[in-house]
Amino acid sequence: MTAEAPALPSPDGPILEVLGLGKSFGELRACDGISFSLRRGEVLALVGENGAGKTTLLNLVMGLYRPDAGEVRVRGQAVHLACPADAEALGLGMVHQHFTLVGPLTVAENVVLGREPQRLGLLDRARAEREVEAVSRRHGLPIRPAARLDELSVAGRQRVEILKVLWRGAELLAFDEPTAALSPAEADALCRAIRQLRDAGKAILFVSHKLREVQAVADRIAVLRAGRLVAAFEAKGADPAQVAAAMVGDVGPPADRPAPERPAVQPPRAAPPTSAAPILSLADVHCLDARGAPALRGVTLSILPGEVVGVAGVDGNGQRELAELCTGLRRPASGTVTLAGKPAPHLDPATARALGVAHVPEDRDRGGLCGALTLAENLALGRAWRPPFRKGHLLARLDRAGLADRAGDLLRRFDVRPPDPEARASSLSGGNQQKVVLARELDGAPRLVVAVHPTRGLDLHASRAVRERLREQAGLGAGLLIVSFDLDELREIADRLVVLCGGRITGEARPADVDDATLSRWMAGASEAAA
Amino acid sequence: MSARRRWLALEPAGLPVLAVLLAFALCAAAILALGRSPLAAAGALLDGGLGGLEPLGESALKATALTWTGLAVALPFAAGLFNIGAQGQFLVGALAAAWAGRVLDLPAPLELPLVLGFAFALGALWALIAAELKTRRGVHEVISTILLNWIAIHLIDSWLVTGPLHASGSQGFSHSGTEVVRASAHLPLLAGAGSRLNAGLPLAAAGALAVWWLLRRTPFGLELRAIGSSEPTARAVGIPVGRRISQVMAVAGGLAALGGAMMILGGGTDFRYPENYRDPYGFDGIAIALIGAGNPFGVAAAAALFGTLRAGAVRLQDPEIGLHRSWPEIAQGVAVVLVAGQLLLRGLWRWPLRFARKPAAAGAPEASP
Amino acid sequence: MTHSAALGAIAVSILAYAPPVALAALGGVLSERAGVINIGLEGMMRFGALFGAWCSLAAGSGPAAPWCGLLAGAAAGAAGGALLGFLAVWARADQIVAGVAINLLALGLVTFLLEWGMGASGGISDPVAMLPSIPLGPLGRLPAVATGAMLVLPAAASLFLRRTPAGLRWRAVGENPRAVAAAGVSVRGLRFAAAVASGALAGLGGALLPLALLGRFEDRMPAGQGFIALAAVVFGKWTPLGALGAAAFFAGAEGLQIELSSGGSLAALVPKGFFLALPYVLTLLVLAGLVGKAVPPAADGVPYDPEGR
Repeated sequence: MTAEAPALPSPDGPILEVLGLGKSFGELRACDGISFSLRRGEVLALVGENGAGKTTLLNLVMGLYRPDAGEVRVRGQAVHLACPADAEALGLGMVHQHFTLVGPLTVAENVVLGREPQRLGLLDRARAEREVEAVSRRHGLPIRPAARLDELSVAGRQRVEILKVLWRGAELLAFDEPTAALSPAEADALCRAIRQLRDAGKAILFVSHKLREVQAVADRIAVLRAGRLVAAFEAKGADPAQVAAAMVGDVGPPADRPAPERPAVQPPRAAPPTSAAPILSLADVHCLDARGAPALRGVTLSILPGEVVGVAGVDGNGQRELAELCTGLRRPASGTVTLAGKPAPHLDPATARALGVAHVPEDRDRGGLCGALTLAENLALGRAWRPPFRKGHLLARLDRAGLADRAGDLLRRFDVRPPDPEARASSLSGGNQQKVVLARELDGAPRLVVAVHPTRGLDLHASRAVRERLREQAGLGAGLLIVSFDLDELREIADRLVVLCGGRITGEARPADVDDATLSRWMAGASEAAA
Repeated sequence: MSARRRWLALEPAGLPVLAVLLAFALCAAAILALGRSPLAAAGALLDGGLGGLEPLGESALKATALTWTGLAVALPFAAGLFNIGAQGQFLVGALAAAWAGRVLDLPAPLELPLVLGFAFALGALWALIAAELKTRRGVHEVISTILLNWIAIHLIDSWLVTGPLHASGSQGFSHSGTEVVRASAHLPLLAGAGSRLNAGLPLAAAGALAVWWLLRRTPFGLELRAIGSSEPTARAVGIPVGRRISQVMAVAGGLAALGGAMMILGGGTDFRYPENYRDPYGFDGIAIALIGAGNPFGVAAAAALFGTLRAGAVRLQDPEIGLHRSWPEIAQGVAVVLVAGQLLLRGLWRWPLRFARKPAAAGAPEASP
Repeated sequence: MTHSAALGAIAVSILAYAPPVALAALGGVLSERAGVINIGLEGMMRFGALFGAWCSLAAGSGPAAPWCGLLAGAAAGAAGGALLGFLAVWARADQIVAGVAINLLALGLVTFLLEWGMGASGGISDPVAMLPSIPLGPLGRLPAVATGAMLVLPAAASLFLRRTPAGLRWRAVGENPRAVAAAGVSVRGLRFAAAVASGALAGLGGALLPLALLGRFEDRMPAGQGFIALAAVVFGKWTPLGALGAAAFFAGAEGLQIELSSGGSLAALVPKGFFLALPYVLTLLVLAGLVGKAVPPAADGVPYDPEGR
């Protein structure tokens, strides 16, 4: 570690300066010639699409990566950050998107991990708790130091993550997509806390792709695209359309990527027929989650053929269990589930598929694809015992020609790149992997499609492709149940929005009839009935 | 495909070969350090394993057993299961064959298949215990199969073989055990009376082929491999994971049991189950499966190699060579350790690529699109 | 034998026979709490037993000899642990495969070393100087050092995990290594240390077999006790004191088996094989019943990938 100690602290100068920073991974130039500065008491937001280089830039500043070009200066002195500990020593603290916390340990233990206060060689727990309490009070981040971490909510854990850097004396805090897993109300609370930190003189670097939030909390906005800093705005007077345009670029998009509109304007969809029988019907369904705690408490819902129902809500309020219920991965504890007119109390995934249920799961690696298998094999999953994948009567054999044909056809139709049936699934990018999952699930004209966070982790182009495919199915008469965090996405494709909170449906409306504030209230638990 | 990509595509097969060669090299170095000649040792091993019909028969006996137990570990491996219980299943099969081969008195074309089938069935049942414990109770198969090994050993050695199945009267042998099996249950010899080369070897080869076919050419095999790649995905697409686990473990148990049965019926223990039978073919099967990289043909190749070396090892004790007969085991153990340390081997395999025309940046992480 | 005498014999059985398994199980607990599964306990015990006996023999017959052996046994086990640590942490091998590999290596190597070093195959015929023991009249002798180690080390380990900064990091790295890395602590260093420590404890337990219990090395040592130790780790819910309790339970079952089969009507009715298999069957039954409440450390057995998400 060769970080030089700052000579004279210059309260007027910027705490962080980045000059011409560059970083490559193989042939990919993730960051190219980036320069900006940040002062104390200021919030700078870094915005851009997935893959624009935001996270790489953050990692460079925090010492997780070493730059190939350019310089980082802290308090006016050039520094070489060889590891995160160097950054920490200089007062730079990173609040990670995926928390670096340990469940069975207490809040205080988590905060002091690595720099534990000691007394006679033993851990001085009392002192740790006192210090954590003091920091939490000083910065308006309420927490109980002796609480076990896995008893806290997501927002609580994020507060602990913030306390970790504050306790270590951070003067600059970097946040990486901090509101990804928070409800609108919790996100507001976080923004308030960030403003409070700013007023206390901290410098804040805030990475996000959610423009609305960024505008609410930032002083300045810097736009990244394809590894370069392409625009900078003062947050106060900034025009969201301009910022969005800078993010996606209106100068010469790549030929295969049409410039998307934001917010998307879609031709109005025909209202689904109301006379047909529902394809899915849940009546007062209760069920437990994986730990045995109640997950759904009396949900009543039906979906008509051709109807798209969007389920919104903060993660962990029963959406996962709802999707598992509809696809046979979970049994109801009480209540009735009716699929395609037939009651289905003992549903399992195989039966669900036989009844025409398609499942696009939230985690591709754990529910969507088998990474080690080829694309052709993945496309045959769940139906390998039937033609065109199987041949032979007594002794079931794989019909390899049939497999290859169907795979080739599907890969082409769904624009998977590369369209190579023998490629390993794990070698594809996230967007293409999702297309393979869709290809398999939508092949065979399903009657009900259950999709959970179908565009998570995908860039704009891939997300669009996915949404179109899903809409297509609705046009063909399938009912759709879509769970998503992204309210914009749900508004765009759903005929009806349903909000889950605490395992109950707290609100239901057509997208045009309800605003975000109301949705937010429903997500926080104020139910429509009670309002 | 460029030469570079072809070289990389060969990696899965190349790594185990590299491991074995490296293990041999290390053993050769150690032998040199002891003041002996590795070349002479190699010569003795090959001569003792392949030099004539009789040595060939001994090698075949061992290679047969190792093939079956290797397959018994490799097959469940494809589904992500560790069958450490091959030893217990092997012994169960051996005892089953020793008993049925005595008790059944049928003409040869019926006797042998029935005895083998019986052994397979009992081995399958024994393995099924571990499988059911896993699927119904979540007990990890590594621990349960280890425990079942010891249960089998104790029940067999300290009850069955010394009790109800003990050979009555003197048989003229220095060791005791069960009664000898009937001649109609013997595996047919392939090279006359002077060698123990028997039908077990081609049967084992056929077994390897069958396991390969099962894994790669049937829907059942596809589902197994799906479970091994991502169990949650397999579950989500409707594959009956619990049932497949039970089925594959049962087949695996049967395979290991066939190994034990063929050892008995091939005369490896004088055609009966001896007291305190401790040949570690089941444990060696684990090594064979790892060295064979879980591939049925790799297993067959590794079994052939180490079976031959083990058979030849008795020659190492000749005064001119002056080495202990456990050197092949040591080589096997070193090879397995090397196989476990995949990353090292991979580094070695890719080392020549540095000298190729256009070296790409090493270890570039996947770009996030 | 009267009931109280039988109970006494069982109690002594526990105190005498549990230590090897208890120490190896403690090693297993410590390594798994740091996220490294150690299937190689059997092999490491084997190394410990061989080197323990060997060094004690080499050191003569004075009172210091067995202590030399004990140290050598722990060192030999630690070497095995270092191999596991290297494979698991740097080569990012599958930890179960690595453990199995070490067991296989131990089988072959020990047989070879035995012959090469001792000139005998099967066992060292020479009796080995033993550690001090306490006579207990009709109940036999109590191996003081073994029993003492068994009672002290798990308690020390428990204190270490719960009350020291290093113990905190140890627990953290088994649950979420990313958190430890973010705190600036070396995940690899911690896990490697855990593997070495677990090997040392297993080696120590293995060395106790010739030095405190049997007075000689037997070819099949530790004859499966390394695997019983594995079961004790799960049984004891991955805690030091739990593993101790589990080891005691198994030793008690073993003692019960000896008592029942050494006389009385029961021995005539039930074959010896059933008694010998009893501890393993009990373990299976308990594992089948306990599962669902026993939760291993979250990152147990998962190789740490610094570039991963």
